[in-house]
Amino acid sequence: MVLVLMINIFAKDSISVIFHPTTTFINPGRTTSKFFERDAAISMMNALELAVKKSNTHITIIHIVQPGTTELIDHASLINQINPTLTIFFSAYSISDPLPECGIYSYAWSTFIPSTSFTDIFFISEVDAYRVSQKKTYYMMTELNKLLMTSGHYWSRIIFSSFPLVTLRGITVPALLIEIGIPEEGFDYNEYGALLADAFVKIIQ
Amino acid sequence: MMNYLSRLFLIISFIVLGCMCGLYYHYSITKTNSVVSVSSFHDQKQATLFFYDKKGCHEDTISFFGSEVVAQDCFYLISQWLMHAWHKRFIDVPIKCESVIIDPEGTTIFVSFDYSFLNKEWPIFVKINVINSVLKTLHTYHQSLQYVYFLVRHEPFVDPHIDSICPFASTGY
Repeated sequence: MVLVLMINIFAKDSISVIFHPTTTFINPGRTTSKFFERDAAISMMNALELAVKKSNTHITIIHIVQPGTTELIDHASLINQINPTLTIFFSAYSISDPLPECGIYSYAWSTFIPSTSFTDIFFISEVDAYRVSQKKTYYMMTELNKLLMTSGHYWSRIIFSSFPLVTLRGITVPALLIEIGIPEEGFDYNEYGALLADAFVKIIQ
Repeated sequence: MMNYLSRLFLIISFIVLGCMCGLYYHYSITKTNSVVSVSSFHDQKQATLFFYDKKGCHEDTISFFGSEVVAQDCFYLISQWLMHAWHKRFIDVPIKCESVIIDPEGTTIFVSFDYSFLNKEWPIFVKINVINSVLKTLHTYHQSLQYVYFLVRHEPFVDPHIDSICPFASTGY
């Protein structure tokens, strides 16, 4: 079931963030075979959302998937229409180390267009908007990295890369993929949710 | 009786002649091949294979007879890298390099495998490490290479994270 909260989204001064656990949309193999990783991504997203709400900021959080379900929707056009300040995709994998790992990746859309369908022509018209978003994304990623590096003792590794990831076709808003290596036991989602929320609030305000 | 002996002699002669022709043919073929193989290799070379993992970078040095054709050397190098990677359990399945082609400018290399060397369930961090290992191995051996395309059966490979349509910078990420 899809739950879309669209409160104050279209007001110009609003700050909105989309949190999205990546399950079958990005990595089908991983989440269908390893339920821990799917559940961890959703738990992390919930903890982060809770921490953002506690921070008393005017940030609207939008779900495109109801937490706790595995139903996934490819809503590139919906996300563009909502035009959030930042879209964050969450992915998790299990690790045996006691300290978690954090990877921050920027989505970069390739201008390579294999066909000339109507949808692709729409994409071409969105190129300029995308380039602006790309710069914004890069800035946010750099700032996020700086903030997380200062909390280095919480992580065994922080990776920051603009490695060519597979295209999130059609999304023309700033988008980051946060991939977290989570220990299967003894991980405090709320603590790390608060840590990440603090960084997110600082970069988007 | 004499007629029978002469026929027998003729048959034996044909058999002996056939064997001699066969031996000569075999000798000529072997000789030709050995000349070709010797002429295509000119000196012994050394190369370093790189393997990045959580703990850092590991290196293996290998020696081989270098070829006049760079693509042939790169093919051998990647095959060796895949073999070492498989023995180290750096990759999940044994993979073969099918072919290597370098563009006329010598800056872009196309490497085709029989199977993707990236497990789709790996975290992005592991995938980046594996790709960087191959890139570093190629770039260290032949520094004029700038772009690397990884293909599976001569087509861009499909991965949930990595975009293989764009070339990878040979200097890595």
